[in-house]
Amino acid sequence: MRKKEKDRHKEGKKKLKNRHLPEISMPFAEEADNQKAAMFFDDLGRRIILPAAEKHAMMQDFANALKFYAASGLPADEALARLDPKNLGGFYSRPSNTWYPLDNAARIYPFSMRHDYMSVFRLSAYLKEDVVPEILQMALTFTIKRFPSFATTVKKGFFWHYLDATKRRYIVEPETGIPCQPIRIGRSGSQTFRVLFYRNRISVEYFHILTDGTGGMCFLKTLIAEYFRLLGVESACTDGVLPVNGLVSPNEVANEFLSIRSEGAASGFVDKSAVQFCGKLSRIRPCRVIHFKMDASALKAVAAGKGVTVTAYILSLMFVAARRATDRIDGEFSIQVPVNMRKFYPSGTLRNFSMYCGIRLPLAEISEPDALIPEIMRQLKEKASRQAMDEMVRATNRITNAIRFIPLFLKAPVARLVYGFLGDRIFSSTFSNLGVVSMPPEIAERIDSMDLVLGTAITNRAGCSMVTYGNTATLSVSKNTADPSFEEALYGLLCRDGLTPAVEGSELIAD
Amino acid sequence: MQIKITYPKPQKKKSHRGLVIEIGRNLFLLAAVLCAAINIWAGGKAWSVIVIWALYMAWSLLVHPDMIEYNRISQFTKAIVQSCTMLVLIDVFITSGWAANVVSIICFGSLIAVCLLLYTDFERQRHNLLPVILLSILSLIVSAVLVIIQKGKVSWQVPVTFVLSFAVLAACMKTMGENIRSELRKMFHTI
Repeated sequence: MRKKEKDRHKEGKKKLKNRHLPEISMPFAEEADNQKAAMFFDDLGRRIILPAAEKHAMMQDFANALKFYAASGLPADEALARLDPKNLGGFYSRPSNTWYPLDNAARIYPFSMRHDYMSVFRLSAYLKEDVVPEILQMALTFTIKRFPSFATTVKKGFFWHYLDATKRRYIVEPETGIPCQPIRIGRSGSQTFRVLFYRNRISVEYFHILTDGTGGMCFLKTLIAEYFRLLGVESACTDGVLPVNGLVSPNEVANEFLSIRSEGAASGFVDKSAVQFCGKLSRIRPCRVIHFKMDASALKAVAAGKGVTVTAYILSLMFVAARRATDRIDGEFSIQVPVNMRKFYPSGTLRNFSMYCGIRLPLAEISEPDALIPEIMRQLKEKASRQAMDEMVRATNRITNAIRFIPLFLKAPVARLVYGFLGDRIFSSTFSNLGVVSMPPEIAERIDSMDLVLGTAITNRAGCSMVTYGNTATLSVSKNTADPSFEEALYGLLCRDGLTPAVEGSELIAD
Repeated sequence: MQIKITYPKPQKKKSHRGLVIEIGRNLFLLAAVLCAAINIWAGGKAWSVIVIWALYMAWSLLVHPDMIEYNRISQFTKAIVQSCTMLVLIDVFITSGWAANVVSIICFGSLIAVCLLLYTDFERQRHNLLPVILLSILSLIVSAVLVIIQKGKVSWQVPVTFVLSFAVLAACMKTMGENIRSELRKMFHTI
C-alpha cells in the first residue's frame, strides 16, 4: 500500500518536472545536441524554486538564448557552457529571507513619492551594435544575484520602510515610453528598477531608494560585462565591474552614513526659495530629454583654459542659460550639486552614499560665464567640503534618530506635508556630474558612450547631468517644460566656446 | 539647434491619474469642509464626523491608494480597520450600544478571511505578514478591553475573537519559523 503511494507520488513529481519541458522546444538541429540541452534543462529546473509560471518563463529565457546561439552558428557545447546554470548560484534555489534597512539618504524617498512622481534616475550605455534582447535577459538573470540589495521590494515596517529580498524573474523590457517614469512598486515582489533596451542602448532606471549614481553605474557596468561575456567577449573584472559569481561583501550593502562620527556641528537642508525658470510646468515629466555630446578632451581643455574644473565650467554656463529661461530680474538662482561621499570616506557600498550642496548666485550678478567662475569655485570649495558634508550627514542622522520610534503611519503624513512644503523649491536646477567612466579594455571599444538622465523634479523645469566615457562627454538635460530657452542658451554658450555638441534626445511631449 | 531623435515615440497612453487625484483632492476637501460647516450651523448630532471619515476612506482606498504594499492582505486589513473605526464613530456620535458586538464579529470574520488570503497564496503572501500581525494584535487588544469593560456581560463573539486573534498570532509566529527573530526585527526595526 505504502509502496503504491510512493510510486504515485514519484509519478506526480515526474509529471510536475516534465510539465515545463514539453513546452520548451529544443533549440538545436542535431539530436545529440538536443539531448545535452534536455539534461541542461533538467539541471536548470532543479536550481529554480520560483512559482511555476515564473520558473517556466525563466527556463524559456534560457531556451530563447540557446536559440539565438544556434541561429548564430555557435556550437552547442559552447552555448551550453556560456549559459551554465551554475551561474545562477543558489540564488533561485533558496527562499528569500534577507532584508535591508534603508540608508539614511533613502528614507525620504518613500515619503516623497506620488502617483505621478518618484525619484528615478537612469543610466544608459550606447553599444556599437544593436542589443540582443535574449542575451541581455540572461545577463540580468546572472547579474542580479551579485547585487542582493537590488533584488528587493520596498516594504512597510512598523517604524520605517525597508527593502525586502525578492526572488523572482527580473525582466528586461523594450523601451517604449518616456524615460524615468515612476516604477510601480506596490505589488508583492515588484522590481524597484527596470532594465530597458532600444536599438543599441541599454538603460537601467533605478528608484533612488536602491542606490545612487555610483552604485547604479557599478550595476550597469557589471550587467554589460556579463552581456558581452555571453556574447563571447571575456573581460577582467576591473574598472568597477564586479565578478557576477563572486561573493557579496558586507561593505557593498552597508549604510555608510552611520559610520560618520555623530559629534560636532550639524546643519543642512533649509534655505530660502530659489528662482524657478518661467516655462509652464508640463503634466508629463520629463516632457523631453536632450543630450549634448561633446569631445571630452576639448571640453577639458576649455575648462582648463579658464583654470577651473569641468563641473564649475558647466555650472557657469547653466547659470547664464538659466538667466535666459526666466523673466524674473531679482532673487537668486541655486543649482543643486550632488557630492559623492566616497571621495571623503572610501567605501565599496552600492547603496546611497551622497549628499548635496547648493551653489547660489543672485540673478542681478549673472551676465557672462567667465565672470561667475571665481564665485562658483569658491562656493564649490566651501559647500562641497568634507566639513560641510559631514555637517549635513549629522543633521540627517539626528533627524532620523529623533523620529525613529514614531510609527510609520504617524510619520508618513507629517513627512509628506513637510516635503510637499519644502519640495525642491530651494533649488532652481540640478547638476550631477558622474565624471569619467571606464570599462575593461576588452569591452571598452564596443561601447560608444554613456549618459545619465535625472528623473523629474516637482517645480524645477530642468535638471542636468553629465557622464564622460572614452572621448565623449554627454551633458543631458531633462526638461519639465516645453520652453526651449534654457537648452538653446546652453547650446549657444557651448558653441561659442568651440565645443559644438551633437544634439540627440526624445521628442517633445506636448500636454 | 537640430535634435536627432534617439528615443522611441512614446505610446499614446497619457495617464490622467495625477489630474484625477488633484481634482479629487479639492472636491473631497470642499465636501469635508461643507459638511463640517453645515453640521455646525444646523447643530444636532455630529454626523459630519462620520461623513468626513467616509470621505477619507474613499480617498485612501479608491482615489489615492497606497503606492507601497498595495497587496491583497494589506488592502484588506486597511479596509477592515477603517470600517471598524467608522462603526465606532457611528456608535459614539449617532446611536450607541451596538458597536462592541459588531466590531468583534467583524474582527473575528476578518481574521479568518485574512488567514485564507495568506494561506491560499502562501509563497507570495508570506512577505506580507506585518498587516496580519497588526490586525491580530489590534483584535486581541480590542477584545481584551471589551472583556475588561463589560465584565461578566460579554457576548460569545468577544472571547472567540480573543482566542482567534491569539491563534492567528501563533500561526504567524509558526510561519516565520526559524527566521522569527529576523522577521520581527525586519518589521519593527528602528535604525
